Amino acid sequence: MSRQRSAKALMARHQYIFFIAPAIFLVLGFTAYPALYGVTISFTNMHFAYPDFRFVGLENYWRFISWSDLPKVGFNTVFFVACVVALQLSLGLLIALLLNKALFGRRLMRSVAILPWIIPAIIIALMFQQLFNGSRLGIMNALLANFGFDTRSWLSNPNEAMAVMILAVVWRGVPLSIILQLGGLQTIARELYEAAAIDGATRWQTLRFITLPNLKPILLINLIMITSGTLNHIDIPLALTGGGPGNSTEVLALSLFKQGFQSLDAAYASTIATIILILNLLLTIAYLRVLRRKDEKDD
Amino acid sequence: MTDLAQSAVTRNRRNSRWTTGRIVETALSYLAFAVVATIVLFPLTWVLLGSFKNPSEIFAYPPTIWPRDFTWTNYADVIRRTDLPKYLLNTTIVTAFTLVFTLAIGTVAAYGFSRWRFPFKQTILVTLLVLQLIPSAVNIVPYYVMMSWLGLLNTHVGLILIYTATHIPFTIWIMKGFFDTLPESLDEAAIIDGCSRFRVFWNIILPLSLPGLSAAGFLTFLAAWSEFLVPLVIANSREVAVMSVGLYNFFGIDSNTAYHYAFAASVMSTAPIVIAYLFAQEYLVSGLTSGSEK
Amino acid sequence: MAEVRLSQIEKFYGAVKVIHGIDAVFEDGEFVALVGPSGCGKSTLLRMIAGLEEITVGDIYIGEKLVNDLAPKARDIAMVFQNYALYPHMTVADNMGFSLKLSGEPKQNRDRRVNEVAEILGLQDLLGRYPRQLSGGQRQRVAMGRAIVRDPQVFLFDEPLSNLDAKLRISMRGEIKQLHQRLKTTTIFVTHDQIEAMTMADRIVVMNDGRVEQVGTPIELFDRPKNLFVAEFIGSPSMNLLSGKIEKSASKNVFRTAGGESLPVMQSLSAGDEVVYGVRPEHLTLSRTGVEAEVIIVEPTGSETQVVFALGTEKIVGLFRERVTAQPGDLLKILPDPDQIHLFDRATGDRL
Ligand SMILES: Nc1ncnc2c1ncn2[C@@H]1O[C@H](COP(=O)(O)OP(=O)(O)OP(=O)(O)O)[C@@H](O)[C@H]1O
Ligand SMILES: [Mg+2]
Repeated sequence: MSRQRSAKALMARHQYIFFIAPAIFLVLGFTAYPALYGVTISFTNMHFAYPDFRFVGLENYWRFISWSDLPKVGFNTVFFVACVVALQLSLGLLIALLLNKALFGRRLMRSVAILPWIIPAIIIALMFQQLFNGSRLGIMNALLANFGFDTRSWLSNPNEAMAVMILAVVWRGVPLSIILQLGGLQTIARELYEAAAIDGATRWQTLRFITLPNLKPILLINLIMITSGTLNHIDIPLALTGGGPGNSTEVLALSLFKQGFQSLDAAYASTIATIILILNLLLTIAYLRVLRRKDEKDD
Repeated sequence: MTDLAQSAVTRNRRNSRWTTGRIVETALSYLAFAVVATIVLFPLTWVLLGSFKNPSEIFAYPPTIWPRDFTWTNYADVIRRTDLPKYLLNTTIVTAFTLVFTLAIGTVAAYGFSRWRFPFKQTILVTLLVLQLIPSAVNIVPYYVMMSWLGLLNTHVGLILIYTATHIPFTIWIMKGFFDTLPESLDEAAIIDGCSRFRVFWNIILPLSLPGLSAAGFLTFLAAWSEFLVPLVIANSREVAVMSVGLYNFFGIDSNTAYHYAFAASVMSTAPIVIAYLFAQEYLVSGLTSGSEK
Repeated sequence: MAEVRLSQIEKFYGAVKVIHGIDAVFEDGEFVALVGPSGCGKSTLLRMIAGLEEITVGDIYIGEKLVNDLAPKARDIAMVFQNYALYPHMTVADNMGFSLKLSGEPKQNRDRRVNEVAEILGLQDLLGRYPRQLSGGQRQRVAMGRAIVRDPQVFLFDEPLSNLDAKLRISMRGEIKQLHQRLKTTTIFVTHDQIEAMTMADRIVVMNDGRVEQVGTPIELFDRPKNLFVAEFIGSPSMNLLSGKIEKSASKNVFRTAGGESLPVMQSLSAGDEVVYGVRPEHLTLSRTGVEAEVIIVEPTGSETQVVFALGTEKIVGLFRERVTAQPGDLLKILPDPDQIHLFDRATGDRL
């Protein structure tokens, strides 16, 4: 007898298509397609002020390399990302360790620590603008004055503006770090700690030899996520400083926005977008590597 | 030794676990937490309290923390004199539709991924995860171009489309993780009882997935409510502007003019999220970590 | 009620064949157990009958109807799962009435039917509870109730008792059997526990590696296993199997083990045949005329005593009604009951 397959059975077996197709089409159409389309725009001279555009090869990339603002923006970006990553990761780890202790009121503490994560970026920008208002009306200046320090101009001073921007981004970003690392801490088997206690490990040794090594994959994933998240972040820089004063807080992602929607140079913005996309791609590959290694270890 | 003495000894031994070292450590932990709580809560409380201050007090020197007298005038002014109510309404519309579409399409797909075996399944799932990582910054220029093709610039539909598409991947991941924990024999029992596949999903699986659903729902809600860059670019006209765009346009950069509005407006714009957070909190951490594991 | 007929059933998972052409008829009103070791394809076969698994090759008939292409709900069957698969968010009553609700039965009829069945199973007081508020045995009963409510042509059970503790399992066995006697619905019952199969079923289908090894009543399988696999699988403790040769000694056939011991046989076989000699532990007796064997372990259970002997190089187990007071190391004489001996071809494993 030959293998028989009825139409009905085929239907049942392939019904999943109806379940997943809408999602796949939407996601491809509004994430993959624009990303690829953006890359093609970077090879043209598309400009929002002019209807026509044509293929120009690598011209935009040459422009990017010889761009006079590039050293400044590049430095800002690296500095900004490095500071945010370092602060967010370490503070996240410390607070996660704190919240992982069997302390009374731990749940409440966790809710409080996570709170900044749910505040919209625009609100954070407005809030930090007011906290760090350069006049004597700003609450930070008032506090400084109260304790006998000099007041500062904050957002109108290049270095201080950068510091405030980093602070705002970290303030909002630490909670995600906490959530991820707390999740990681909670997957470490209690038996490991008990075994270490029986072996006579001190608290420091336990942290050093049990907690951190076991947390390493999560820390790595977190590192990669924060790096790409910060690299791609536009909201707070745009709303808080707008890159100013001058271009002292302008980071690459913000340049993209300014080029595209203030200078209306769509092609040049897409060039920057493509470069950011490539950086993200590298980070994603690293991310998948870590995940795969983690999976292998779990098995 | 008498029983009493015996129990005193054991009690003592138990108490002795509270060594000085431990007490100091606990005290330091609470102290550290107090610092964290201050850093988190101080700015938020300051904004909240500021929203109840008289405008004159807001602009007075030295600045105060606790309002001299509580007043609702800032809220009244924001509601009567600014477009914030309209922005909030727009935000609500966009968020609500996004939420419904994302959860509907995302959970249905998650069910498909959870219950069928098919070629390239794992590849598709990982691809979704990777596509999720494409930031809106990278896609913002193409979004603008695409929306102008589709005639959806300055519409809510355009926003809803983009939001839905970008939030579906994590919804799929969270919900699939959740569905995978429900035994397939439940589906089979329901099929034998006479359910269609969709009915199984709707009547059996979905009602059992409320924790996952609230986690995914909250994340979508949070993202859609707060989204800034995309609406700023593709829907920034006064009529359709959402909260973030409205606030940005109104307060701009370094505009000191309307401080007294800013506090109240910030509170009004954030309150819905905080309320949703309180509801979803219970499921949030578990839902998030299950989603982030892979 | 209806008979179930399988004809040349095969199942592939991708390129892997897990069911190798099964023919079987389960008669109307019969209680049939499908037994076999883990992974032999029992669940797969049952699920093909239920319509949960596609049939790669072959036909399945329920009654006169070819059901290959019918959806599960159209096959008029009901199934009880190993983990019960009760809907956690529905009460017992809703769980039981769900299928009727789906088929558009008016609420009044539904309630009446659910109550009827609840009464049969002693579930009246539990109707308002949720599955998590039930004990394992009660869940099991609800799962059966859900099946019975539909009054199907065929009941399908997939290891429904394996999640219960030993005592409950035995009492549920009895209950299910009684229920079957009352409802007389064709029942196919999958288990890997041969005792369950023996005690409950009218007929047993023994499966191994995707094939049917033997079909028969429990007694047939016990008394006349068709091959080595069935001989070893059915019965507990399992049959002693010794390899050796048939020899002629003083005009009588005897069986000689590899170690040189000789045991009696009745069958007329030609000398020199390579065979496997099978005798159940309960068919060994202590007898002065038997062969000498060394006691290794004595396990009294009260009602009977199980003794493990070394017979030459082989181990052999005996089960005796009488009390055995021997100590390990003692020598006892054991004699297989010559009428209860099974001989199998060593090469093919088939019964001789
Ligand atoms: N979805 C599947 N894909 C591939 N192989 C499968 C699948 N389901 C079952 N199998 C294989 O088919 C064979 C039969 O499986 P089945 O579940 O029917 O065994 P079983 O007799 O019910 O065993 P158990 O007593 O353990 O439940 C097994 O070898 C199993 O590995
Ligand atoms: Mg099975």
